[in-house]
Amino acid sequence: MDTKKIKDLISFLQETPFAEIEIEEQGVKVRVVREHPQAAPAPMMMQAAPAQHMPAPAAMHAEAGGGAPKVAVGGKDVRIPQEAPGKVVTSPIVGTFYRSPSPDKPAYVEVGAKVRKGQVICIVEAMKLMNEIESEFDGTVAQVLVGDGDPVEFGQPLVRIEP
Amino acid sequence: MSAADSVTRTADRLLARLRCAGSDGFVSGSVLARELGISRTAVWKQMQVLQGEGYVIESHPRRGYRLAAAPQGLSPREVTALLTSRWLGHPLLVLPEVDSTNRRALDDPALGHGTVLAALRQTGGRGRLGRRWETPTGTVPFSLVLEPAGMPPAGVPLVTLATAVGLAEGIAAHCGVNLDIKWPNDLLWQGRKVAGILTEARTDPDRITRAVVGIGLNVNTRADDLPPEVRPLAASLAEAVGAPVAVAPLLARVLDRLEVIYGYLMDGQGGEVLRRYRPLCTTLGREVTVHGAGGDRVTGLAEAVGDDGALVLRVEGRPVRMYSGDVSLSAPAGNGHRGKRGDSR
Repeated sequence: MDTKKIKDLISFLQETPFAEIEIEEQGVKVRVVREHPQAAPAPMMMQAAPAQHMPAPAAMHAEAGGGAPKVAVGGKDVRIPQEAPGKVVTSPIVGTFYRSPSPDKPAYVEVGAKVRKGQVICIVEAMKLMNEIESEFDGTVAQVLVGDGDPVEFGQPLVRIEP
Repeated sequence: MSAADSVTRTADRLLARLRCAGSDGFVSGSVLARELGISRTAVWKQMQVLQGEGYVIESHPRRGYRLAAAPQGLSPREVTALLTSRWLGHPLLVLPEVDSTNRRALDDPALGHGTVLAALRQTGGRGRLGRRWETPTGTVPFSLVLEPAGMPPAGVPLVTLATAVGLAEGIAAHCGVNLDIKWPNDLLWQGRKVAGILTEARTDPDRITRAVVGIGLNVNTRADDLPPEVRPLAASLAEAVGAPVAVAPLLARVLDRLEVIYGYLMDGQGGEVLRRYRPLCTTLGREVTVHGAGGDRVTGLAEAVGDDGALVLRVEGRPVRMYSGDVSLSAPAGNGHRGKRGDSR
């Protein structure tokens, strides 16, 4: 099962009043649990991120909504880091994530690299439009949250940058 | 205004006057001199300039001057003279040689909204994911700079579909050749590629700051000038028409059309772009395989182009939306394989 499906499950849960969902597919069991089921779920899509450091609505739950979703894979709980330090750069569109300008070129940034506001840190492609995504912050790349060539959703966190 | 600009403007006015000559096509040197407020010697000098640019101008001792033919190549003066657009192609810049019109336009933030940058020779043309794009003689490379203020990022990918529509409509209007669109934005004639489009943009989460749309259009490209491995995959407008195609009027018509189509997007009428796009898109209704960058692939029946521009495949009875990848017609049914990029909604 790929991470996309798990993200879809999280999104789906957020649209429902239910506290948890569990599915089994090809021997892999995934359970998604909402920690504060009574809280109103956050909207799935927003017109535009109102603040630059706002966590993405789809994959991660905004503070304003319910508790942080918790994903259980194979019986083991994996908590999505809700309060990780730093700020995340999110995807402006639905598309495909690339770490480098072409397969034979080095990645724009590696973990630990210093970046400046306005520096290109990755590409998201949709319909042959190559979107160069700029860092919105000065800092150090703490985490690249998506694999090269993976699909990304609107608002999905791509890179976490620590000051 | 520099002296060079002034010379250019005078030549433009002379050309315009020659184009509205009487029935025999001639305008006398004294009439030209009087109407433009310059000397007859200056008129003669301007005619030399125009002839140097490829205009064929006849002169006759008593009848004056007549415009016999315009340049067949990429003449910026000629394109500008024929443009009726309000913002696209203003300015229009033609460089003698460039590595990549897209790279040059991306690197120069002074080139503002509507700028068109073309080149007579392009040495380092690029396609998607850094692939090489061959630009032999006869292929016209040009890039358009768009700064679509206020366009939300979600509408931005439609720029590439809109570009394919504008090109196809402009080409159909100018030379009567009906091209097909292969999703997302390749233009094909009889299954072979006539134009490739690559758009590169800078965005922050709220909006697109600047998009550069790069187009390589095979106008008078000869098969002999293409690398052997590309020949079976490429076609040119000259081949489709059966005669050489004058570049300037074609480019002017295409830019006029693109301005109209981009106008729909900027007015929030993406639906109109898609309404025009779908009948041209021959990917629809076919069994196709979309190859992702990571070697993954998805096979299914291409049943729709969504309002967001995504190609919707029907895979094992479910719709799967594709946002990128190389599309190919599938091997015979039964070889289908569902890759990780499947996005079921």
